[in-house]
Amino acid sequence: MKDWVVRQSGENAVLIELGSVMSEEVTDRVQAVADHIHGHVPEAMDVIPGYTTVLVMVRPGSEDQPWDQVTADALSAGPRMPGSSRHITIPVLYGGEYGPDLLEVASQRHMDGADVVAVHSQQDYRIHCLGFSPGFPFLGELDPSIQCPRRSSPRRMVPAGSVGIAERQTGIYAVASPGGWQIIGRTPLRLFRPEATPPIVYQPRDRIRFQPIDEPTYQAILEDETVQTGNWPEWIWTGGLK
Amino acid sequence: MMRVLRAGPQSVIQDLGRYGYQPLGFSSGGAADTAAHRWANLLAGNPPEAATVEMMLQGAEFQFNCGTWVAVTGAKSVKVGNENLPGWCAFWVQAAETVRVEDFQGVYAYLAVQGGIAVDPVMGSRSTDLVAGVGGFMGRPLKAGDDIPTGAVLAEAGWNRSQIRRPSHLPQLGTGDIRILPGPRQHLMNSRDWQEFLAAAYTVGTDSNRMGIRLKGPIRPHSLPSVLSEGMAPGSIEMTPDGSPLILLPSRGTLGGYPVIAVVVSADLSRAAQCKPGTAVRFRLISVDEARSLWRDQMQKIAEEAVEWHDRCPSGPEESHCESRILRAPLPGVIYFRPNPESQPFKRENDTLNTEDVLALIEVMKTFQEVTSPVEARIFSRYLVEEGSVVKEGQPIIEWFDAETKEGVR
Repeated sequence: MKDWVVRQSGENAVLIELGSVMSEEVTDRVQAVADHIHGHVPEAMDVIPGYTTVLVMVRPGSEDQPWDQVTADALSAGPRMPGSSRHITIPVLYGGEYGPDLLEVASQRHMDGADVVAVHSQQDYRIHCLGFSPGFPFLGELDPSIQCPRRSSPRRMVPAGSVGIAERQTGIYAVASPGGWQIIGRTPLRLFRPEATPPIVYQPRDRIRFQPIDEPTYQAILEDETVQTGNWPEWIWTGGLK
Repeated sequence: MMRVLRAGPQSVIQDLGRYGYQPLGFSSGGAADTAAHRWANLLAGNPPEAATVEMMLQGAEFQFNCGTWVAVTGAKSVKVGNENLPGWCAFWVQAAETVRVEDFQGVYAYLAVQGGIAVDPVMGSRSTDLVAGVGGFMGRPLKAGDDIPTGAVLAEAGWNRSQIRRPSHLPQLGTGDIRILPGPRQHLMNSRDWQEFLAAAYTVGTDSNRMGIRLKGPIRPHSLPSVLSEGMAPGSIEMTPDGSPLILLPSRGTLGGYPVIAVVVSADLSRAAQCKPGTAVRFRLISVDEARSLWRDQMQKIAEEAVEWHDRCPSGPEESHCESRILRAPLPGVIYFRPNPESQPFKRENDTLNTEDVLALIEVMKTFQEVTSPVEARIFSRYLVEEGSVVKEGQPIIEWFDAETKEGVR
């Protein structure tokens, strides 16, 4: 049975809606369709996965595609990497000047800053989609005990590497940008590397865990040339710093 | 190589955009007015994807270190050395000569150089992504003193300065309604709101920029839900709960959460991008087939265009914003008379005005533009508008006296 909707979005794009709620199952369907179209539909210039949708931008002047058939094929093929999404550990220095909203979040939830850190770093988060700003991963789902609304007024500039929370989600500002999320920490990793392929290492369906680090470790990673310019160190993929 | 002498409010290097990175959150970007960008390249003898300089709102000036062909589109006039030439033409520039682009028709003008702007591509494109801080020239807007690499000039002997290249038919700068298609979330707005939306005259807000055009209008839609963040195609019209629609340009954020009730057709998106703050905008629904044929026609015209040679004759005398002792606003926006709220005003009664003295600031499209004195050795009289008010383009803002006249006034 067909359980998706194809909606025209201007003459050169379609929005394929694959569910109505944020869930891991829907993220899998979204990524299956995005991967399939990326690999099998040459008329597609770009594919933008959202929480429950895939936006396909096609080359102007190209033929209409049988999107229902394409979607059906994609869903029966499944995601490119079935089941085996990658696990990434992101080191974070929480609180202080790096996480100026940590204590605000703690006081709203009647906890200590250390409790917020413990809860935030105790679980894996799924990347649902990337967007808002370049390389910003929307991660779910935040433990209810530390959920917190956005700041009442956004900051004019949030530094690159900042880790924020908002409602049911957490995310990372890969590039500096204005932002309204509660900033609780910062990673020293250089997340956006324009010279590398791909310029952003993680992708939807990957799992991210945050590892609390102290200031000397933060500085050491920040000053480590190989981490900042070359490939990320092995421990990122193997459960974090020992 | 080309040196930036004046960058104007915001000059950035652009091409037709960066594709393949939108799943990671990088907008496709590229020229805001792709039609004018394509025309500039055509006239300069470049392929459409060559990089150009996109200038915003007013005067930018460049100097070339070797002879080359240069084309300017989107402006009514261009000053080459001391000579005035019309816009929408290509001309031969000699080494050390300056090119000043002025008198913009809309928001953006384009300058193409033979061989293209030769910065290194980043992630497959030379376009400047100001959000990610990459591409173009060091990932930022151009500044005075920047030396911009340009492509190789086909060194053909005998270029002379007596001729310019113009299109056989000047491109029609469309006016009238912006044509739209129903968007993917059209069903979230009820039929009465749709009727009002199509009947309404919207005004382009001063807080518009390369990412999107903010519109102010009379209607407030009934209970419009938000959606989970989803992909946004260029041209999407996001309807906000307070009834201020946002037309997304190619440098938009890739994901958005307001419902897209309609999408501007590709053939009209460049025209929408060129609407200055204060412009009135109306929308008209057409069919997908019409939208596609409009786009085909637009591309066909550029493809078939034969560039013709014309005798190079200077255009009429340069128009001045300054007439009969009144200085008019060069652009629309919010006007200020001091550099910051704590400071003294730039000028007080009987102060001397010298060329390039800053007289006011106009806040438009999220930038502050200096209004400078066009005259030398004159006497400031008064500001003609309230500080902090919104001025229209061409509205009188400052009064001054000729030095002799002032004596007479006393």
